[in-house]
This record gives sequence, C-alpha cells and structure tokens, in this order.
Amino acid sequence: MSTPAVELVGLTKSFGSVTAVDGLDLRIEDGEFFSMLGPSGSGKTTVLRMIAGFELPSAGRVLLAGEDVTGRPPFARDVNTVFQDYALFPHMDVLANVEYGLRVKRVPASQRRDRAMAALESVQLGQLARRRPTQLSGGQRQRVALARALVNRPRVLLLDEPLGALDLKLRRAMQLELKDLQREVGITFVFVTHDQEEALTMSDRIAVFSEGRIEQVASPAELYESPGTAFVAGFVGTSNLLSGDAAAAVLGRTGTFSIRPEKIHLDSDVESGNTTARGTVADVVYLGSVNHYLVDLDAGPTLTVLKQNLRDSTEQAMGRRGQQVTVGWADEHVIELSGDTQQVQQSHEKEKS
Amino acid sequence: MSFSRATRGVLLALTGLVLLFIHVPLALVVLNSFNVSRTFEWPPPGYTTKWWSAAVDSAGARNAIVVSVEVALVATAIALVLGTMAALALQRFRFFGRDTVSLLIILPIALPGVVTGIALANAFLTMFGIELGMLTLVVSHATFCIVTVFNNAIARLRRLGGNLEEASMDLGAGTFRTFWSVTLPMMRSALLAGALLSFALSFDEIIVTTFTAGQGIQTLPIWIYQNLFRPNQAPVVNVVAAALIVLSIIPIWLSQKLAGTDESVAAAR
Ligand SMILES: Nc1ncnc2c1ncn2[C@@H]1O[C@H](COP(=O)(O)OP(=O)(O)OP(=O)(O)O)[C@@H](O)[C@H]1O
Ligand SMILES: [Mg+2]
Repeated sequence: MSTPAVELVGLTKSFGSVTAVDGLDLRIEDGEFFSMLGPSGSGKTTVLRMIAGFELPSAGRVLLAGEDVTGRPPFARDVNTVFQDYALFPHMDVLANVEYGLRVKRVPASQRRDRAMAALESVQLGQLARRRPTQLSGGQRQRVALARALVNRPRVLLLDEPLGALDLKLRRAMQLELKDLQREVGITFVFVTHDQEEALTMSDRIAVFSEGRIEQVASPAELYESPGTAFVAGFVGTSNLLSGDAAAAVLGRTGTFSIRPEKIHLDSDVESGNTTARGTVADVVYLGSVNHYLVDLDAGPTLTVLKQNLRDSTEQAMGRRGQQVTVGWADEHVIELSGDTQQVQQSHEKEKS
Repeated sequence: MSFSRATRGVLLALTGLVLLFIHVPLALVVLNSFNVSRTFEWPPPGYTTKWWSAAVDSAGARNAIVVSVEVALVATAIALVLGTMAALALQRFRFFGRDTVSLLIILPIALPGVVTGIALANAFLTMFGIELGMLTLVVSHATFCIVTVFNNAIARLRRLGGNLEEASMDLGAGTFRTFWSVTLPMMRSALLAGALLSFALSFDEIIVTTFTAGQGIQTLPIWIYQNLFRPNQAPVVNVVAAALIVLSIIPIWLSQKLAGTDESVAAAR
C-alpha cells in the first residue's frame, strides 16, 4: 500500500480529567474524501486540531505523508484548514485574504495575484475580489475560506463542519460543489460533520466517532448496509434495533440486530418468503415523499416502517392509525451487531435534543 | 424597561440638571477668558482678547505645556509597549497565578494617588538613589498609563479569541508574522483608544506628579495650581484652562468613535 496522506498512531488528548480523544489509530489515503462523523463532543474537532497542529497530543503521533509532525507548529505542516466560522481576516479584502498564504511564503507578487484570482474563479467569486468579508453572505464567506486554503495547494485540506452555518438548500448545493472540487484538485479532504446524510453523500470513506474512539471506518454503502456496531446502526440512518427479549420474541434469535425501516414491508407489500409479524399502527409520521409508520408488534417491540407515498393519499395513510397490520422482511436484511444497545439510544437522544 | 410619563419627566429633569451642573462652570471659564475684569466680575463689564495674547506670551505657561506634553507622550509610549505585551502574555498563555498578575497590573489605578506617589518617590530616592526629575516623573506616570492600555488591549483580545491567529499560522505565518499582520491590526483601534485615554490621564495628573517630579520641573497642572491665586496671573491661567477645554474635546470624541463602532471586531465575531 502507498504511504497514507495522514496517519494517526495511538493518538490521545486529555483536557484535565476529560479524555477527548482516546488512543486513535487511523490511516487516510492520498486523494481520499474522508469524513469524520459523530455526535457532539465525540472528539472530531480535537482530532482535526491535532492534525493541523493547534493542539499537542497527550500521547501518540501524527504522520503526514509518512513524516512524523507531532511536535511541529501549524505553520510548518503541509495542511490547511477551513474553519467552521471561516476565520476570514476582517481587515483585509477578499483577495488579500486569499493571497495571505502565498505572501507569507514569499511567492512573487505577479504570480501571487494570478493564483489567488484563479482560486477565486474556481469558487465563482472572481467579481467579489475587492469586497470586505463583512460585505459577503454566509455562503460567499464559506467559498472565500475554501479558496484561501486551496490556493496553497496543501497535501491535505481539513474542514471542520464548513457547511454548518448554511441553510439547507445552500448546504446541499455546496456539498455537491465541494465533492466536485475535491475530485478536480485531487487533494485529500478530511471533513468533519455531525450530519450523517452529509457524510454519506460526499465521502469515499467515513469514520464514525463515539466518545473519543472510532466505532467503524467504512465506505458509505458499507456503513449503511452492514454497520459493525449498534452505535453505528443507530447513528447512521434510522434503525430498528432489536436485542434481548425483543430479539428472541420477534426473530427467535439471541443477540443485537438491526433492520432498516425501508426494508420492512407493510400488508400487501409483504413478499413471499418474508418473516412476518402482526402489530398495530400506533402512529403515522408524515414526511413529505415518505411516511413513517410506528408499528407496535404484538410480540412487544415497536418498529419504524418507512413507506413511500406512491399510491396512498395522505388521508389514507393517516387513517391507518390504530389498524391491525402485518409487517414482513427478508432475513438477509436483518443485520447482526456487536456492542451495547443502551449507549446508542442515549447518544441518539443527545443528538436530537 | 418602560417608565410612566411622570417618572420619565423626573429623570429627564435630573439629567438636565446634572448636565447644567457640569457644563455651566466650564462655559464660565471660557467666557471669563474674555472678561475685561481681572477679578472675573460678574456680569463681565466688557470683553477683550488681551488675556489670550498674554497667555501666548507667558514663558511659564508655554514651558509647562511643553513639559506636560513630553511627559504624557513618553509615558504613553512606554505604556503602549508594556501594556500590550502584558495583555498578550496574560490572554494568550496559561500559567499559574495568571489572575493574580492581572490584578496586580490593574491595582495602581485603584490606589489613591498619594499612596502611589509616596511609594514611588521613596523607591526612587532610597532604593535606586535616583534624583527626582524628568525620568522619575515619566516612569511614575507610565505606571498608571499602562493600566488603561492593558485594559483596552485585553478586552479586545478576549473579544477576538484566538481564531484569526490560528488561521494565520495555518496559512504558514510564524508567531511574529501573525502578530504583525493579524493581531496588531485587529488591536489597533483599541490601542489608540487606550493611548488617548492614557495621554489624557498623564496630562492632568497632579498628585503623583507633586511627589515624583522634583523641584525644577513644572507640568501644566502644577503651574496652573501655583498661579491660579496670584491676582495678576489669574486671567492667564483662565485662558489656559479655556484652551484645554476646547482641545480636550478632540481626543474624547476620537476615542469614543474608535471604541464604539468597530467594524473589524464586529466582523471577527
Ligand atoms: N480546550 C478544551 N478544554 C477542555 N475540554 C475541551 C477542550 N476542547 C474540547 N474539549 C472537550 O473534549 C471533548 C471533545 O470535543 P470536540 O470539540 O473534539 O468535539 P466534537 O466532536 O468536535 O463536537 P461538535 O460536533 O460539538 O463540534 C468534549 O467533551 C469537549 O468538552
Ligand atoms: Mg467540533
């Protein structure tokens, strides 16, 4: 295997009695779009700050392109950061902001101007070069921050929830734009987010964080289809978790299992060969193009079932409250998990509140 | 909070009264500088500009002004350098006893001037064996000037946080470059406001000055104090006071403008 762009070895960071990052081992390959996904406080930012050099690890090492940079200051590392609040210099105009890194590295003036303008063009901001950061919208500031980092052609670009401050629509647009840009420039992106949908959309690989540790590193599809732990199944997408008595009652097996809501069929959709169960519709949650049915199984647990609004009208769907239904699923969609279920539910609730 | 009409009326009247109380005497000083009468007769029997020309010709007044400006300038310069460095050290580095050091820096402004004056004079004369003079005066003024610069600087640094500095280092700038290109420009208006205030404090300081200036040196406040009750000097003193009133409006207005609406700081938040 080639030398990874970033390698973390036993990386640990404690703030007093809080262990923010706990013995992390990770390899991020060259040219990858790599996401760090996890609930608030799980240590994502801290890891990023240790890669950038703003925070010294309590233990462990950071390697960039095979070189140990653990003790080096931020300005002696070939990485650049896009900060969550952008951190644009308010006393400089947009062009001066973008030029800053080049000026510091003593790139000749003419070349500097050309490269900065090219970087601004690449994020469609060429016309705004002379504006002050205060005169820009949130999305425009975000692009300036991106251009300011990319113009230095770093080996690795670190992004800490760069889309967090944008509204949903702009966010979606920027996700696609970022992904395209990354493909174009071929720079390794390390992208921090707590939005699982965002991570699934953009990444080559995702590391799921929980309490300073990595639960699983996998491609988006793998993470979704075969989550390794109950935590991952609960955090990435919605999941029906069955364990203990519930698992025994519904599946007739012992262990912890996950079934995705869209893999469960309702009444007439149930296919032959499916495992079935009877229950009552406790509630119907209208979500636009799809509905969530909460089904109380006669055997005990409640399952969330996702059904597209293809044929049923909204009234019909809502009218199913309290009705007896049959649910069914194919056995191959029952995923066996390892890990502690309790923890998942807790952190899921934390995320929602 | 909303007030009843009556309460508002009373508050407005009180505010007006306070303003009158402060500004009528000031207006009187300016008016009297044109009063023909040597003893400031009221109402003025006539108006003249002869006191103004007398003041311009007065060697004592001119000399005192020069001394005061010199002292204020040098003390402010010292305060700017030391106050900024102290604020940076206290805000950007964590160390044991940080809060205590911060308190110790601010203390001189809370101490009565007599205490500071006696303490400094004693230290200069007995511990260091330095004659009281220009040097001791400037150093003494710097002790309280540092406080105003320090307070302004540290407030600004707190509001800024370390984010922009991290961004600068992330883009390859070393510590010094970051200070020069990012930290200092972001602090500029706060430092200017601190410097103006510090200049004003030094310029009209009288208590610490009497203890630490020695015999030969006369700052403007001391000159005024010594000449105010001499009958033939009183009109000239009055002119100097009037001129100071007019002049001091400028720095106050400037520092308010600078401290209030600071676009760059608002944006950095
Ligand atoms: N400077 C600090 N001093 C003390 N504790 C800190 C510091 N920075 C982070 N922590 C703690 O470390 C833990 C991890 O924080 P971190 O900022 O890395 O989380 P995160 O995954 O980025 O969360 P979020 O999604 O909310 O940004 C938290 O418990 C946090 O309180
Ligand atoms: Mg974070």
